[in-house]
Amino acid sequence: MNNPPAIPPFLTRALRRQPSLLAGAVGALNFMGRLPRTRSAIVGLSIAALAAAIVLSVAARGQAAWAVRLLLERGELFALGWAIYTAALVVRRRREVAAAASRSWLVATPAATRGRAATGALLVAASLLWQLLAALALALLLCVDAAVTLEQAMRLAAWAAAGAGLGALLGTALPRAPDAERNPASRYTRRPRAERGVTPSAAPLSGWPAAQALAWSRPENARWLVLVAILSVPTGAGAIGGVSILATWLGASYLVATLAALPRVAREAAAWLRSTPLDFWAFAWPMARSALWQQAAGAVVAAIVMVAAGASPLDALELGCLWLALVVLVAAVSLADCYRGQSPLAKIWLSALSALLAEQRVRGLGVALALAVTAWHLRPGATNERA
Amino acid sequence: MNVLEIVDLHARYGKREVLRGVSLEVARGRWFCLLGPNGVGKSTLLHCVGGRLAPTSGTIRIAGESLAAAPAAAKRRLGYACAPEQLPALLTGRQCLEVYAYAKELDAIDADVAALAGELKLTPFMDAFVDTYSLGTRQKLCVLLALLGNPELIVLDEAFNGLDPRSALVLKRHLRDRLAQGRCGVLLATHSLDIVERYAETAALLLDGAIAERWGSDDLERLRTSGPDALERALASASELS
Repeated sequence: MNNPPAIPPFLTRALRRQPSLLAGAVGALNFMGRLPRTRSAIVGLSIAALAAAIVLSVAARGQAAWAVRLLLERGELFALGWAIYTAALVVRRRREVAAAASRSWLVATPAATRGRAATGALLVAASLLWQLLAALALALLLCVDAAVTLEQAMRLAAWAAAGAGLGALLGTALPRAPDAERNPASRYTRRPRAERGVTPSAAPLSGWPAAQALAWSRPENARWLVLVAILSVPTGAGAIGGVSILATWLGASYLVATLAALPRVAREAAAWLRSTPLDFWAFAWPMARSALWQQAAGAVVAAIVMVAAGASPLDALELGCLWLALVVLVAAVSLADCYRGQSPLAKIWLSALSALLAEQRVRGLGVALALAVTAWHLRPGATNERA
Repeated sequence: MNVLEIVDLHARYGKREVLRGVSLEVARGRWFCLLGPNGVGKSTLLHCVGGRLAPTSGTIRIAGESLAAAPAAAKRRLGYACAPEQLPALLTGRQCLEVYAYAKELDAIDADVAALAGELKLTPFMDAFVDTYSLGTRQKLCVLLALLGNPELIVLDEAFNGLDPRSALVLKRHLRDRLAQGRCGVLLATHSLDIVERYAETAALLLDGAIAERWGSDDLERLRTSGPDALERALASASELS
C-alpha cells in the first residue's frame, strides 16, 4: 500500500488555527499527488485544451475584437454585471461554507469554533481569486486576435476586477441566505396531484428532469438571474419589450437547467432502478421524453425570436439545430452511460466541446458530430451491457 | 429449493479485493441472516446480488436464474431494498411505487403491499416528496419497493434501521408470513442479534470477504436455549478464531 506523504511542516504552521483548512489542504495535496495515476488528469487536460481551442478559434476569426470593443464601450455596465455575479457567488459560497462547517467531521472539536470565521473568509476569498485568475487568462487569450491590443485586454480585466471588488463588498454585506438543509430541494417544485390509485407506470419519470430544474430555480437562486435580466432591459424599451426580454432570460435559464438536470437525474434513476429488469429503452424514453419536447419547443421559439429580431433564417436554423443536437447528445450519453453504470460527465464535456469547435470551423459539422456520437451511444448492443 | 445460490464469488473495488470466494445458499421459506463487523463486505455482497456491482468471478443464481447470463429473468424474481438515501428525492412515495412496479413489469400493485403500506402508516405520506421523509419513512418505502411483485428472494440491508418498534414488528411479521407460505427466502444483512435469535433459520458470519462461520437451524436453536448471550459469545469466538 502506498503511504501518502507526511503533512508538510509549513502547512501545519500556517494553518494550525484552521484545522478544517489544514484538512482540506492536505486532501488537495494528496489529490494532486494521485492525479498523474488517474484518468481524471487526462480528461481534465483534454477539456481545458478544447476550451482553450474554442476561445482561440473565436479570437482567430476576428470575432473577439468586436466583443471586446462592445464590452469596453459599456464598461460600467460590464462591471456592474460582474459585480452582481460576484455578489451572488460570495453569498452562495458563504452559505456553502457555513453548511459544510456544520456538517464537518470536526464540528464537535473546539478547534472548529476557534477558527471558523477566518476559515470561511479564506475559502470565499479563494473562490474570488480563482474567478479573477480565470478572467485574466481569458483576457490574455483574446489577445490572439490581432485586432485586440494588450491594453484593451488589461482594461477589460480591470473592469472585471473593479466589478469583483464591488460584488465582494456587496456579497459580504448582504445577509446570508438560509442553510440549504432548511430549504428542501423540492420546496418550490409543483405540488403533486393527489391520485387515488397506484398503477405501474413510467410516467412519473418524465417529470423528473423538470422537477430537478425547478428545484434548482428556487427564488433564492433565481433572484440574481432576475436582477441581471432586469438590468439587461435597455432604457426606453416599452413594457412589451421589457417583458419579452425577461421572459427570454427565464425561458433560456429553464432550458439550460433542464439540460443540466438530465445527467444528474439519469444517474440517480439508474442507480435506483438497477436491481430491476427494466430494459434500456423502457428506462431512457420516459426519462428523456418530456425534456426533449420542451427543448424542441424552446429551440423553435428561440429561432422565431431571432428571425423577428433581424437575424437571418439560416443563422437561426443553424443555432436551433446545434442546440438540439447538443441536447440529444447530452441526453443519449447520460442515459446510456448511467444505465450501464458508468459516469457520463467527461464524455459529455469532451463531445460537446468538440462539437462546438467543429461547428466553429465548418457550419453543420458540429451538428453532424453530435449526432454521430449520439448514434454511437444508442447503437444496438451498446445499451445491453448493464453493470 | 434454493432461491439464492452463490458460488465462489469474488468482487473488488479498484485494486482492493472485497469478496474472496464467498459461497452460500438461501432456501425458500428460510430467513438467512448475514452477520459481520463493519467493512467486511456484507453490503458489497448484497450489491452483487442486486446487480449493482459486477463480480470479478463466481456465479449468482436467483431462483435458478443466473444473474450474469439472464439478468432480466433473475431480477424479476428479486426484491432488493435500496438504501434510503438512494430513493429519488424529487418523486413522491406513490410515484416511486408506480415507477418501481413498472420497472418490475407488473400489471398492478400487489394488494398485500398496499395493505402493508397502511399497516406501516405510510399512506398519509404517499403524496409527499421523498426528500421531506424521515429516515424511518424512507426505510419503509424501500422495503415496500422490495416486496413489489411477490419476489422469490428478498434482499434487505439493515432494513430495520430507523424503524420504530411497532413498524419493525409489523414488518418482521409480514416477512415471516411470506416465509411460512413458502413464497420467498429472505437474505438480511444485519448487526441486530435479536432478529437472528428470534427469526433466522440460518446465519453466516462474514469476515474479511469470506464466510468464516455458518449456523444452521439446529445450531441456532441450540444457541437460543444455551443462555441469553450464547449467540453473542459464539460470534465473538468465531471472530477471534478467524
